[in-house]
Amino acid sequence: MALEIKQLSHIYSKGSPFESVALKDIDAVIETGEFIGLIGHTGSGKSTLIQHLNGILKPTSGTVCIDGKDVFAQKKKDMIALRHAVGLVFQYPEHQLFEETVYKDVAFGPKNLKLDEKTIDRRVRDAVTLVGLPETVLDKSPFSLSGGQMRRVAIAGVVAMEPQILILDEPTAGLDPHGRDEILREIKKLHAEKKMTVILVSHSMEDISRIADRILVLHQGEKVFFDTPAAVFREVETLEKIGLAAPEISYLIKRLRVKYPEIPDDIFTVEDAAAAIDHVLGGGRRV
Amino acid sequence: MFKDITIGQYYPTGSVIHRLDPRTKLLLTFGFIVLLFVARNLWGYLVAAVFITVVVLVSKIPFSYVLRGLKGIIFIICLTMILNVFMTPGEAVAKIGFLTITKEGIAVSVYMAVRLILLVAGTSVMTLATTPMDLTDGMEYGLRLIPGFKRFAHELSMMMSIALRFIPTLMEETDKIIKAQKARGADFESGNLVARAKALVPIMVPLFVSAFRRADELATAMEARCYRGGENRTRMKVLKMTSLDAWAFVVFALFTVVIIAMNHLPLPLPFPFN
Ligand SMILES: Nc1ncnc2c1ncn2[C@@H]1O[C@H](COP(=O)(O)OP(=O)(O)O)[C@@H](O)[C@H]1O
Ligand SMILES: [Mg+2]
Repeated sequence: MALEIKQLSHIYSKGSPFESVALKDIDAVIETGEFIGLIGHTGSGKSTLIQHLNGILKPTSGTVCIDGKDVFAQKKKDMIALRHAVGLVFQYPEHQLFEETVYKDVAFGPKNLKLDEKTIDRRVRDAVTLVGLPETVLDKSPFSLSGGQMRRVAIAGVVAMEPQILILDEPTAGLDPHGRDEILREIKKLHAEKKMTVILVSHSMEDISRIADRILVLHQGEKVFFDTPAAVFREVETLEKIGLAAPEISYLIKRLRVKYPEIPDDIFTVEDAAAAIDHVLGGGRRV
Repeated sequence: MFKDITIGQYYPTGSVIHRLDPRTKLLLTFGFIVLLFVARNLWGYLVAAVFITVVVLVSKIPFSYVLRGLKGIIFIICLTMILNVFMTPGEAVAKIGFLTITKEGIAVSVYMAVRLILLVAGTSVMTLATTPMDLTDGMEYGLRLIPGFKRFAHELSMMMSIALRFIPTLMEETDKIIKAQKARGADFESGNLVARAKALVPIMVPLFVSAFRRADELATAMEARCYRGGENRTRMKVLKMTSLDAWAFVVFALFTVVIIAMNHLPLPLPFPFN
């Protein structure tokens, strides 16, 4: 499903002394099957933007179209159907768990879709496996799990609705490096196996650079860049000015390129960097 | 969905009213309420209405905000009006079935409504023009003056400031949980009463869990900093009266004199108040 964001603006508490502009004229087109990284400093409007994509938040002006259909111009019923095509995992999603068992909680979404028991059962088991939880947790209370596991249960709750577009708001916030890597790996797997379009919100370049096809950079509610990681990370000065940074490794590559211009400039992961350095310096010379 | 709650909602404008000491504002609001019951005729209420209008104008708070507080009590106002119109004994004006409308009834019900409206308007201005923290500081000061309350004054105001502090947080939280469950296809708007009540479970459970978690975290944080309320505790921000407060008292004294004068002046009153 193609997603089109057109001239989208959002002003919170319009007309009160607390009025604040959160989004200004955002334009973007996201193609089917893409993996988009949405990045920006805290308060740049990332969460506000994604809440428009499934019609939960109404724009002050502008609109969002899914497959050419204007999300906000639909009748209530069609709007709900569109909403089901877009799965939204909020920030700290573990705070929305409420059922007695993991199974029931994950089944909440599919049940609201009015699916039959058998499909629900299959989807719940699928989703739980996809997010890397063992089936043994199904009968446990979600409140007895660890923070990282609770977050997976919450993500599974949205995955079980099998949306075509999956949006995750800082799914790695507050997790340890190990938990963070695992969640990212599972999201990558979802993208590859279920052919979902994924929008991943983060404020860590490191996380995003590895997996995103394109990166949308927000700053104070405005779109700064929307391009491939290579193109975005070339603009280190602008990124630093808006409180972001290119991945650490790209600084090393930049300095190395002064001496070895044959190193490509689109390297953002430690693994790629190691390979490139190996290649240039002749694999044999291990340090 | 929570936009109608005015109490506890601070509206910053930096006006003269906002800069008054919270104790002054509390005391004068209390005085204003007392005067609403001292006033005995239409002229007195007219003066009070003019007074509160001037206060709102000076505070630069939009009237719509002050009136928002009234929405919640419209029902109470209507009920007291209806009851008073029919139940007050006196000179009959009209008859509807077995119900009698009396002249005194009309007068009493109008007075009651005016009194309630002015009362809510007065307290709304006070809460809109005072930060919740200032308000509890002022209340703590006031409570300490009541014999027997001195010991609990700090605890009580601490509880209140914590409660006030968490109202917006919990509202935000509720808003977020509602959105998150909606994103999972929850439907809060259709179905019969039972279905709707059931639909609240996915909101209430996470809300309670988070409220308890927050309370627990706060208690731990306070204990870690060796919090011990009451005796010998000094304040970072000490309340201080200024000449502004003196002027406020002078203006209010004048207002009091006028209200009492209205009770005794032989001013003409229209039907049904004569
Ligand atoms: N419910 C809200 N009411 C008022 N202002 C809000 C609300 N949510 C966010 N904001 C404001 O909008 C801006 C963007 O916030 P947000 O979208 O949450 O940013 P991010 O997710 O990038 O940290 C911030 O300045 C924030 O204070
Ligand atoms: Mg956010």
